[in-house]
Amino acid sequence: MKSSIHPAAYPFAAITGNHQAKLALMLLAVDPTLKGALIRGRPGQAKSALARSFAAMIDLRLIEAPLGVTEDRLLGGLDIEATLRDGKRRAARGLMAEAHQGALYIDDINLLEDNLISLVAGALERGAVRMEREGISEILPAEFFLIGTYNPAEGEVSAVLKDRVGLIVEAEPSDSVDDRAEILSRVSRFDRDPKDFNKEFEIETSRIKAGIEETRKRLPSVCVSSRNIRNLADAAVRLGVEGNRADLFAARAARAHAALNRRDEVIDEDLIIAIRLALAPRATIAPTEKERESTQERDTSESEVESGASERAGDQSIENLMIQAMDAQAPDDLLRPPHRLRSSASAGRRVEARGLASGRYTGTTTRRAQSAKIAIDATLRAAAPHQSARRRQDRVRVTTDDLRYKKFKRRSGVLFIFAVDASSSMAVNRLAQAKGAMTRLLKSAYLHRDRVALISFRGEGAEVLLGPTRSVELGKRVVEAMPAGGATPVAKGVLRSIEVARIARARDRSQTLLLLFTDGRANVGAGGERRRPEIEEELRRLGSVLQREGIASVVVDTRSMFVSTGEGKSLAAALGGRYVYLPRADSNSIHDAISGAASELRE
Amino acid sequence: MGIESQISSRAVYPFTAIVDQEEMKLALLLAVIDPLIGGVIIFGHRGTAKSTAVRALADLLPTITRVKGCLYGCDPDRVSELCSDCAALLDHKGRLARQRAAVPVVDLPLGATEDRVCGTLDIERALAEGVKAFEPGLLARANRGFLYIDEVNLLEDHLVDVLLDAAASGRNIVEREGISVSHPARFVLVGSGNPEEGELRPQLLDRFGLFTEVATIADLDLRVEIVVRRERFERDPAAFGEEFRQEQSRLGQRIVRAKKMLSRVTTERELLRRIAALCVRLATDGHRGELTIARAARALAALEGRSKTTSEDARRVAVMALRHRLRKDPLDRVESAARIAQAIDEIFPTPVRLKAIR
Repeated sequence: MKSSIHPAAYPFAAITGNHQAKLALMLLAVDPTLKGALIRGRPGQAKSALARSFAAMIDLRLIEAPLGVTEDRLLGGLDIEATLRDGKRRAARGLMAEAHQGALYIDDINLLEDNLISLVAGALERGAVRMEREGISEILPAEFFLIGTYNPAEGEVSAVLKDRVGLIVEAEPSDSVDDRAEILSRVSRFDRDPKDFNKEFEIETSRIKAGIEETRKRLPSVCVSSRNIRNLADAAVRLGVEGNRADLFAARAARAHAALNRRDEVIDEDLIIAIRLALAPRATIAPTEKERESTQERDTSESEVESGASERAGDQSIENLMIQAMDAQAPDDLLRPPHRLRSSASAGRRVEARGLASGRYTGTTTRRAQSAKIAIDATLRAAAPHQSARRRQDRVRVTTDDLRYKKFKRRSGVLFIFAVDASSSMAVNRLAQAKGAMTRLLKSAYLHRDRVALISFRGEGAEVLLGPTRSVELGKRVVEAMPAGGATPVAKGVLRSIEVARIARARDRSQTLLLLFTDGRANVGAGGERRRPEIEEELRRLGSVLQREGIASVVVDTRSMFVSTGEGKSLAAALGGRYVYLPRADSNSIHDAISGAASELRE
Repeated sequence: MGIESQISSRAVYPFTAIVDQEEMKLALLLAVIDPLIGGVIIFGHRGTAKSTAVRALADLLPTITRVKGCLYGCDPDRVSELCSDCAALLDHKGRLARQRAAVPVVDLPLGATEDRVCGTLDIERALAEGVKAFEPGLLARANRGFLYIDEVNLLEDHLVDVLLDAAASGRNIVEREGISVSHPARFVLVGSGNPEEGELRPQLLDRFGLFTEVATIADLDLRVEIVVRRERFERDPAAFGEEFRQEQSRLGQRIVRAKKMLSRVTTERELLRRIAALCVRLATDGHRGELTIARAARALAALEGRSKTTSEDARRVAVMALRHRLRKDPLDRVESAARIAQAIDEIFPTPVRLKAIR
């Protein structure tokens, strides 16, 4: 944990570009009930510098939670030292309680474990943390806002968290040579003499600070009309935003933006900003799709004729606003359903940084494992009854017999990646088989915390139809019919699977089992090669990548015996995986085959 | 404690100020009127006032009589269900001191450890006095009240086991760290969550009487109202609370009346037959389906001040009571609710519309 105010922090005013992210931070400083900002961007775009510089500028208490943070540090728990010293239970404040009336900063927040994400989301919602652990029962105020930064190529931030923060923005890359040269020059000037550099920006810094001060004062008098809110709600509906919380954030963002621009009234420009920062990033449908739907509905429903006229008049303006809001370099992946993932980048690097004893603290044991953590509450309980016999004076005497160790449970089961060959006419059958097996797995997934993902490959590419999920609901929604035919890019399917596995592991180190449903005839390489030896060589290379990554694989051969020439088998051999022959596979026999492979992984 | 009451008194949004979401509100009220219904699970979209509604419930609950000083809030009028302390006290003194108290609504937060849920050795007393005393946990606190679990589908398995045991027996049995205690733990479970986060264990799902689904409100007027109310509430919670005070107390009184009336509400045999027929038609497992419909229908009649249940009552609660009891075929495209609605239409003709709860 580092706490604010470095006399020589890089000045916020000196950070070039990144207008959206800067604006988001300013809005948060003005209205902390916006609850937070997620800043998306590739590495090296000054995302963390932004957060730190900003906090330093406005004397904001910024509590940083590292990725390896444990549940008890985040939430708080028993204060070992004080408890031993006083012989009385003392609670230690967690990072979230310390961030009260300040901000919590988490870098690479998309890699934070799910159980920790839920804790942060819960605290954001309640403005308090509730501890019921290690003999402590306490509720502490924790009204903070969250700043989270991440690289979307390494996986998206959990939807639970996205729902609880007001603003989601893109860090903008500075691609021009001039910009980059300017950044370079500024950073080297800063490195040489931070104090001097800060002086250069003194005037600009005090101008921004004064602006925020003034805006805070103005905020309560800014009026957001029902008409404004209605427009924002309308935009949210058209974008398919889930829930009704985002409307509230959008209204607050519009108000804060108006105040920042010294207006007492919200105008279109404010609404555009609100849509851009608070609503568009939560879109689940592209506006045009929905537009078509709603006009159809309007045509067919008679009862709405009366209100139709006035609504249509409003439509024009809201459409305009939305178009303007979306215009600003919205990256295309923003409009995808939340669970689809984006390509490439290795995300495994942080896994090693985490201690072995992480996960959720579920109970205690007398058995000491390697790198075990002492469960002080249970240890003290074990020691307590013997204190009079041990003739303690001021101190509690603890012997090795008393020691209790924490048992941790990870929420990581097996990730089953179904990669389905959609190239031949049998593709629809194969997909149905895979889906059947998938839903059967999911129905018992709560037992092992297993997850499934579904990838289809055909023609030139592979598509993630369903990102890793534990939800039967989502599994059911995966498209029934899909386009079939074209070449068979097995390599593409495997590559995509590796990406999905890497991203999933970065967060929870789950085991991965790749299930390749195909008839085994790979006839196009990842780069489009059509020559057999090259394709085979490529598959062998992918096989060694799978092994290096520790991804087990099973080739499920669905081809009928008459035409099969053993291609499935040789594919399995190339990939170093197991081979299962299931030409008329029903979901049961697939399920049995999978369970066998999975139980080995669990051991 | 000081902080706790500060935080909770500041944060409670009035139940009657929640816009729309009538099914959810009705389900919660029915569970309050008749705890035997077995609690409510609220599943659906994020940001749809699920936890707001549950936390708002506390404000509407009538007070109860409890044994003064009892850790578990024993009911002095139910001698057979007393905890061992109260039983001993009654033997010794011949009577129990009474006290009025609020119905507990206890939050089971994520990250809770088992010792805090079940209770464990009181470490302070053990260190200071060398005595093995039991320190009650959340299950003790929830006795005779409500236990609320947000993100119930993310609850750790070992805690689910603990809950299932307590829910089945109405008692919490602790055998750990040299402590051996059994105390009453009768509570109404209320859970909420988003199905996209994962499935709920079937055994736990089955424990919930009513299953209500919430979705994002699409109506623009309602959405504007939601934002306007929320902003007004946050700006001045006290003034906002005052605005809804009358409505709140009216609803509170209705609940008190309904609870009193419940035992007098009758259901004709013919209606019970039709309820049973509905469950047979839908092939629900066991008898919990029809029992829940019958109980919820009675609670609904009581809520509306009628001493007789009607087929309309049964219609209005059937979907909530059965939604989670149909055998799920994962590949079935037809939603449970649609299947139930169809069966209801066949067995209980006449359309229905949920009335607003005022």
